[in-house]
Amino acid sequence: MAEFTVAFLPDTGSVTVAPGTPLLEAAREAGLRLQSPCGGQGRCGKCLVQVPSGVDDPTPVEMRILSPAQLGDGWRLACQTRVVGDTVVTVPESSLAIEHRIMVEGAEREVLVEPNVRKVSLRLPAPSVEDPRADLHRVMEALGEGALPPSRLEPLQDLPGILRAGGYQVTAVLAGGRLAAVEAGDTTEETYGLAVDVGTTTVVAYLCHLPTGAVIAVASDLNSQAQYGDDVISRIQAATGDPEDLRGLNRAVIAVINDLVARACHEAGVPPEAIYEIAVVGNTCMTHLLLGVPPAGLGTVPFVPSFRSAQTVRATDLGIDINPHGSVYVAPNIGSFVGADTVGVMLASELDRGDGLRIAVDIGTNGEIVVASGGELYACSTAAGPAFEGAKISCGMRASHGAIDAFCIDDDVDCHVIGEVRPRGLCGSGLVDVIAELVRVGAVAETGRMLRREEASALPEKVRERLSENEDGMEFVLARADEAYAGEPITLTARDVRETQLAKAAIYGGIELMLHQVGAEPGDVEQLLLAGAFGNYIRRESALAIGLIPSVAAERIASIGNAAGVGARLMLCSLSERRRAQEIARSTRHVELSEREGFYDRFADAMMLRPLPADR
Amino acid sequence: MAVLDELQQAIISGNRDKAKELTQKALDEGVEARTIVVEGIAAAMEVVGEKFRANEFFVPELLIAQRAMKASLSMMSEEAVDHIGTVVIGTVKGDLHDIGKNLVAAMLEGAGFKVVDLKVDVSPEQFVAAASENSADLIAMSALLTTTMGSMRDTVAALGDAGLRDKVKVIVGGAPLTQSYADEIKADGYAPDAASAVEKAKQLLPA
Repeated sequence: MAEFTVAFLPDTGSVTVAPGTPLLEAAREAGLRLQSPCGGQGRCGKCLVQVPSGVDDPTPVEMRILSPAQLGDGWRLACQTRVVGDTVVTVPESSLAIEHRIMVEGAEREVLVEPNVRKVSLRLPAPSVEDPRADLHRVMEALGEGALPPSRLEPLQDLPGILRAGGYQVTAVLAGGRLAAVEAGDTTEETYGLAVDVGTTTVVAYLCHLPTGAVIAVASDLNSQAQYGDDVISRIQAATGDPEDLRGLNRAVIAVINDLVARACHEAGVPPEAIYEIAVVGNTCMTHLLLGVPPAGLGTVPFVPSFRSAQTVRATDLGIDINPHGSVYVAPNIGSFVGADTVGVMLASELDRGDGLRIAVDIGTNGEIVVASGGELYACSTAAGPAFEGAKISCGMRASHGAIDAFCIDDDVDCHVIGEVRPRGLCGSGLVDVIAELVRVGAVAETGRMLRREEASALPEKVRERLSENEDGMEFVLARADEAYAGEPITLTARDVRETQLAKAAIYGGIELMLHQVGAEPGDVEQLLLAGAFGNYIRRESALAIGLIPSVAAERIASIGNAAGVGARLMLCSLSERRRAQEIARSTRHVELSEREGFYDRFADAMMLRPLPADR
Repeated sequence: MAVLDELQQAIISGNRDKAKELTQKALDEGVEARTIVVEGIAAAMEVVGEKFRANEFFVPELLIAQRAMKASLSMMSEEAVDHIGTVVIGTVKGDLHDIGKNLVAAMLEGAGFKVVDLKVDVSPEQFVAAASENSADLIAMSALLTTTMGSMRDTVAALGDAGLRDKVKVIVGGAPLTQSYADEIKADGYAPDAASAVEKAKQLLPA
């Protein structure tokens, strides 16, 4: 069979194809991705190319979209135009599919934005004697093969009115390839999605513009499920013990999400109905409670979840107030205590690629640790507790306006406050700095005991004065009453140091055990990534100083911010990233730490506030 | 005795090497093992317990003190040490948490008890069998999950069935435990932390 050469301009080389090949396909072979939101049906007019000869005549479909002047100049729709001879095709920039970048905090990753929800603008011919097709048929034919008809009644009920009111210019909303709704006019730009990270302590939502993947607003709040307990075990026990509590836990998280939807929408000036999909990550217990599924097996040995795979449900079934036809995608879990949020972290940091030894640590309530070694993936959860997210610390708060987030001691203390205002409290990164500095100058012993003023004569006077005793024990004054926001001093108590020790020992002990699991030493680690609740960038020097993480060379340590949230955004905006997430969840091995020999002894050593491992 | 005072300090401050050094020194000076245990080790652990109750010492200090204590104890032969009682300890069936239980076990050992540690996920039958085999004075049970606490009630019943209830006392502890629950299941004692566990255990010993 004869083959023809198709050359693409500007400068993308040429390919040889069989006669009759559509230009869209030829372009793909040449490595050029043209836009074709309507799936090559000749309905959207986006795959415009200029080709003077070597192709067949314009089709009726094209003649409906292109003006005689355009056709005269050689403009054609690549999806409708077939090769009949050697030809040269000029592709304008505007016809190319744009690779949108999703900013991964700390690193840029290019991802092709292909969300589950997409809108197709349709300019349909009105019914006529020659074309008496039914309304639904008219729309489905325009969408072409591959598009599925609605599975619910509402889109069908809305269709006739919208078609006629909009003069047959409408936008079809497709979710997973199925027609979910029809809107009047061209609303393709008003497509939004929400990526949500449901943490045990903090919930964060990112409002994203779906055609581009750009984040246009962020909102976060405390997870009000805390009234049932700070930690996952308490909530599991509440949910398993009483169906009323399961309902309460479910309603609590839904209420938080609805509130974040409202706030993010308000900030961005976008109506909640323009949100068509939510992608959610969270630990295993959180995903169960969000879906109202009893976490019955998670409470006792051998700890089994009720489900592990990704779930897609209608937003209305959960009571989430977005577009009524909207859906919620809940990412897959790895095991009973390592969940969708960890999958998010792994996706964001691409731990599933490469052979080197890389570790990602989530410095949050559940302290998940993932290790990639020789292409294998392992994950565990250390139940660190909410100290690093500000809870359980007497003056602890989340990393937001007014939080002391950095700290150092010279002849006196120096607090850096988010927003440069009077301090209201201490957030996770501030906590780690404060403890590192107090140990460094000797106000707190390596065992974690805060010295009494009489014992601390080696300290600079101004620092020494900050050590004070109250009825519960010792405390260190970070900001005096007259310097602080609410007229109450901001202090770090001896108890706070202990809470931090417990939390960091869990994390450190977990990392050590995981390294042991893969037969490696801290020196073998190529990259150590610190992920954590929104806005929490723990300083690596302080983390090393207090033994929160093992002694890995500083240049190999990076803070990647809320990587779970980034993972949720990736899953929201890209179907291939969702498939990748499923694969990650399937192939990661869950390591149950409490079954490991030696966890107790390692935990004991890990509580010490000094660089670890200590030379034994 | 100076060397025993120094040994106390070494154990209290968690200095494992110093504790071993001083234990050896005491033995070399001819101090009897049982004296070292009572006036060196047990005395040190009492102070540790007090500081813990006073919120000055916390889990890390307890742990390092216990390690120093164990190092010292390991240098003396089993027979040379007079135990004040025998305790069978473990975390109940269905539960794998052991850090708290291990702290209690170490504190009991430091106080002079012989401790038989059954580890975790221990069934009522296993508790009773071990108590019988070791002629134990006490069974100490730990649980962290409310869903597993019920096993404690079963153990008390099993002890009764084995005809051992009046010979073996039962003490319970763990985060979800309370005095009222202990009373409900007819345990002999409840303790909220490792330090008070030792006190309670001593109280429950036969006079």
